[in-house]
Amino acid sequence: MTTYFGVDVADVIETMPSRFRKEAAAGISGRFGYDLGEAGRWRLAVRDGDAALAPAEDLDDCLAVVATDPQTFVGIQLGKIDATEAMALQKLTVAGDRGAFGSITRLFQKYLPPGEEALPDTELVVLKQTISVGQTFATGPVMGRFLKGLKQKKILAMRCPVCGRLQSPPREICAVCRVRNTEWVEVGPKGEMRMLEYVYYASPDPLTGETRETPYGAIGVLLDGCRDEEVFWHLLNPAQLDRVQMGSVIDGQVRHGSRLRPVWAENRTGSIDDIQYFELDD
Amino acid sequence: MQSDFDTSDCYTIEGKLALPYTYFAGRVGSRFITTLRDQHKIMGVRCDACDTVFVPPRQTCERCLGDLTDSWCEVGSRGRVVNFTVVRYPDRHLPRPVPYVLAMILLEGADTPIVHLLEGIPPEQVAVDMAVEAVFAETTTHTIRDIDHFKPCDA
Amino acid sequence: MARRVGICAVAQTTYQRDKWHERFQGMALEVLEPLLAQTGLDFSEDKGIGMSISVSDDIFDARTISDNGMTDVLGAHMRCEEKIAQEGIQALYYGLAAIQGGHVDAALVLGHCKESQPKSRNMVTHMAFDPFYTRPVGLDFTAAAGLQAQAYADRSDVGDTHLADIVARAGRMAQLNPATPETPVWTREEVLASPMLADPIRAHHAYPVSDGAVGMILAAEETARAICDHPVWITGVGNCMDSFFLGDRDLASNFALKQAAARAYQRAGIDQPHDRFDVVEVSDQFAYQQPMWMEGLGLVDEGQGGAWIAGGGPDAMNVNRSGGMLAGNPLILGGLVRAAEVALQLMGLAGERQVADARCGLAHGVMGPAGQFHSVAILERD
Repeated sequence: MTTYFGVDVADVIETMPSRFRKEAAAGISGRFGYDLGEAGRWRLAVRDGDAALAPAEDLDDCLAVVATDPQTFVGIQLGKIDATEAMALQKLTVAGDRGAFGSITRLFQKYLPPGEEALPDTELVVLKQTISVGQTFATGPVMGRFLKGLKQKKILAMRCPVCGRLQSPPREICAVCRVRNTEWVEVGPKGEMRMLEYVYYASPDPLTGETRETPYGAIGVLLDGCRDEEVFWHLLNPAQLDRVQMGSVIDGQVRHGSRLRPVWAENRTGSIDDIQYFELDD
Repeated sequence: MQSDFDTSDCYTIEGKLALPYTYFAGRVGSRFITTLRDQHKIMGVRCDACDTVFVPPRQTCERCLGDLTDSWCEVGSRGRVVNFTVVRYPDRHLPRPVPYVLAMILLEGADTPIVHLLEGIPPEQVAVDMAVEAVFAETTTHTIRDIDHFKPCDA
Repeated sequence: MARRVGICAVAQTTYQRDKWHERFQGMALEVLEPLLAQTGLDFSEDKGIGMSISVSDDIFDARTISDNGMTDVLGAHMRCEEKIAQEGIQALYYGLAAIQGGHVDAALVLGHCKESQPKSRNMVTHMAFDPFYTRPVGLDFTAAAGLQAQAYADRSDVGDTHLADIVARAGRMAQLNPATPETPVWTREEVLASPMLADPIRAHHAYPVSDGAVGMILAAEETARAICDHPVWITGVGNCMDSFFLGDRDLASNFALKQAAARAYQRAGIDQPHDRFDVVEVSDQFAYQQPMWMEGLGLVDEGQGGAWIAGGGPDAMNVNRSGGMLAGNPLILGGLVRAAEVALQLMGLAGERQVADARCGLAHGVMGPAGQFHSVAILERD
């Protein structure tokens, strides 16, 4: 066989089983094919952490088959060719379960040409930091009045003088008409659930530094007095995630969602958390 | 504010912007920091095309876009002050209580000065061209502060 | 020949130390409404404003993609919107490109910033630095400016008294500007006596913490003439970015500013900038920057900033009649306010600070530590 980058491709292939890190491969099994052009076709059989390599014409029984030319294969092993770039240039293709193939490639120790000593791996430095800057957020008069309403257990909306749509929380301006909202309207506090999102991953809230318990339900509620897209966004009582129904209007067919009511916090401060969450209004 | 502005519904809420980050120093940066940490050696990279030794090192020369990945060279842990200021406003992000001297220090063999702390001398006595040397940190922070600060030394 | 683009209307809020009673959207509406009223434009698809160019800083706003929460007050609902994140004056560049490129005929520019929102604006500018080499030594824009001010002092003839006079003048100019009602007026002695902040920068040399919003309407020539008596043409723009690490730069050289100015002058067909401008507005975040940027612009001989100040140069050349950034404009808006002020001068709408028959002006913006980035705009009227 031939030499690429000063390295015999046969050596790269034949050392694959010995470079396979058994200790990291526990529980992994499967057959993986290597179609290496002039360097032949090979099947790697992994089972209970052991890896066996044999030439094989037929790779149809493999979970994934990587096809490339010997030069690209060796180049990637030596770090001279970037695998992602090779894929983009279609010099390397993976058919079948790419994810499984990717996991397997990570289990091989780096190939070292005969006679070369392993360089100590450069330790990669990673720093974890939390950036924290205190803030004084201004409500302004519109958000301020809405939040004060929550303190009084009222959910307020503003109405656009041109198109009549309601917004809650209210905005200074109707985005569609580009005019200032002028009229205040009380809506809800009960309503119908229109949207529910099961959230399994909570990012830390940058405004408080806290992370919500998961899973939680982010909901859009159509409060009494509102219509169409005028939904109010909040949270659902997490204990009721599996008991609620989303409402919808599809091709004119109306399906009503669960009727919900807000659960108010004992100690209200004029914040969106003055509503703890919404729950089923049974 | 305008005299007719009704502030009766206006108020403020205290909060914060708090974001957790994971920063990677890069391969070049990692080598710089681990060498600093473990060997107390300060490394720069040399761009042959531009005839410049850059500290801190970087992977690419911004002037000619040359690859500087393997173009390491050691620079001295002594140098001279080429510029400085005295920071006198207290704040949470500052590394020391104020006042302290923030200096630009050109290390022996480097062509670009680094910005670092200068201690062991009253601010009024700091002067451009002073000879200074690095004082390495006892514990690592995996940053340039593995040099804890610089102090005056004999020329 | 590319079609001309003009500034047709300008609006701004007052700039104050603490607009605790307003959130961003409220400030922005105070700017949007007069702009629409002045021009009679709306956001209709066929003949209205086709693009909203917003200006804001994510860290100051404590909100990433800080423009997205402003969609409604930018009139950007179902329209084209883009955010300028570097310096607000770049909005002119962006609008110029969009209009000359034939994408739109009219664009709205609207920027906001509340420096009072974060507990410390130095902590915010500290975030411009990297976590490994520069944040650990506490760098922020004030410390970086201190280093530059020292480098400039070592090379120039500008001394403490000159700087005190710059600050005292800024206070006097600000008295004539209805947008800066809170700027203190200090005497030279008071400035000289103010404590050091980052030597040689004194506390009174620093622009005050500021909240506010500013906006403009830009339009292609045909539209501009229809909606405004005296459009202010953007005849030249140029910008330039210097290196990130302070050590990679020659801090006193004005490298980036010289490049930015040269590009702007070349595009405006200006060979001799020295006597060309009736008004000049430079972004002086710190007092040393007024003479330093004037030297970098080629309007004051290099190394002669101090003599220029002592000789009454700022008054003679109508520099920062608005009070400049020293009077108090927030970071990221400083350059855009400079452009707004020049436009107002050229439109004859500068009130008590008006320079008679002003026809050509220069506006300058700066961003990044120690003026890493500079942007220059040349504005002219017929």
